[in-house]
Amino acid sequence: MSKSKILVVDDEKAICSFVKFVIQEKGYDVILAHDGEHALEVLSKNKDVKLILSDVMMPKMTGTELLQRVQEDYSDIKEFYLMTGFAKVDKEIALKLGAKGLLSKPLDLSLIEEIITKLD
Amino acid sequence: MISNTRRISVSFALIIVTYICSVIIYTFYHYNEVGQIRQNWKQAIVEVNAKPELISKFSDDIYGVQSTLVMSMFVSSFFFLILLLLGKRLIDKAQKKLEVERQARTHVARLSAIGQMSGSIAHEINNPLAILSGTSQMIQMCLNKDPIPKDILTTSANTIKDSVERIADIVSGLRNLTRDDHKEKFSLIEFDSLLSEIMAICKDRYSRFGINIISPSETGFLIEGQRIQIAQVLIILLNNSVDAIKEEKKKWIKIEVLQNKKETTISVIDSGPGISKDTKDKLMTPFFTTKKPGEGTGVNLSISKNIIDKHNGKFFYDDTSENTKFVIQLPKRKI
Repeated sequence: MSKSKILVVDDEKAICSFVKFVIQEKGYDVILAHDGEHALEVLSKNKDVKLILSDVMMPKMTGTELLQRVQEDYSDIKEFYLMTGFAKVDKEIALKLGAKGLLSKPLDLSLIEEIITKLD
Repeated sequence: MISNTRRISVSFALIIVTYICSVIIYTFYHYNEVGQIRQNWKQAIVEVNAKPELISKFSDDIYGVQSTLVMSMFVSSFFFLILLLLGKRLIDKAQKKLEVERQARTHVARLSAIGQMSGSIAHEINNPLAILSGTSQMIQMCLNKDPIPKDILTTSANTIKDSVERIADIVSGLRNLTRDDHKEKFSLIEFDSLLSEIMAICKDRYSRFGINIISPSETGFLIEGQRIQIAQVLIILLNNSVDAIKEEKKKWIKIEVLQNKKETTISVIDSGPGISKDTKDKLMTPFFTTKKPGEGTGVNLSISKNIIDKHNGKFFYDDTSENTKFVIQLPKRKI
């Protein structure tokens, strides 16, 4: 059985690369996007994405805006996590919008491993 | 401020010299007149066969008047000089106080301009920190693998180096731009390095609002002036542009720089439609702001104008441009 795809959205390529490493170590396919618009484009072509990990402060579209768009257009995506450093994100609002949780930056990679393990 | 003090000192010196000259001319004019009267009296007394003692007494009396006249000239000049020096000292003191207050205001405005970006700066530093943290965790995972993936470790080492340099750039930019260095000397400034320092701490604010920054690269231009002060003016203009266009559909800020034999012209243009005539007339007035309460103090543009005036340059809003455009012109020769 093929494992689900995971989409990582962050304008910092170095962050994308170590998150990708952790996910691949767990045997999942990873798709990277560097802004919200790119992420939506990826989603339109990859219907089997099950998890999205997205930064909040990004050019063109914030992570919260992306979350709203995903909730409207891709309701079958199971989980959406926001990764945030100093960006002002109201946790309650994010959860109300459908986020599964907030991951604070600097990221604890073991938390990402846990999320992935629970995915299937 | 320095040229004002010089002007006042020269005026004082001129007043003193003019006064002393007039007192000397006046005294000598009257000294001769009194001398003439003395001679006439002597003659008259001789002619009326007055006693020699009486002649001598009259002569001494009048001589006394002459001496008193000269003495009073010196005494009055001396007191006048003291009064002038005291007055000048008071004016100097008041001017010094004003200058200290002005420097404090400028420093506070600079800190407030940096403060406006504090959230962005925190994010700007936190991102490389997050990269360092994540990369080090990834290295630990790699070390547990057999064989150790050397290519990932090599890439990680480069990533760490880049991130550390990024933090160092931000810290150095902040240190250079927030130092309270009002006595900073005029020096030759590399425009490219000044701009990259500013960009290091402002970049995040633009990307957060999706603003496209078009800035010149490798101009090689050297400008003469006070580095921190000029950086402050640029940060103020860039912050104003961000605030003005962040909600607009088209969002871009363009920095242009041109140099000829006489001057360097730096323009900050944004995608905004320009400023109304009413607002334009009040732009450089202290405490005038179009921002919401708490968002702007209204002193930044007037401070910017002061700074550029001190450089003998020009700072103005260019209403011939179809977009919002502020221009800084700095003379190439030092003031």
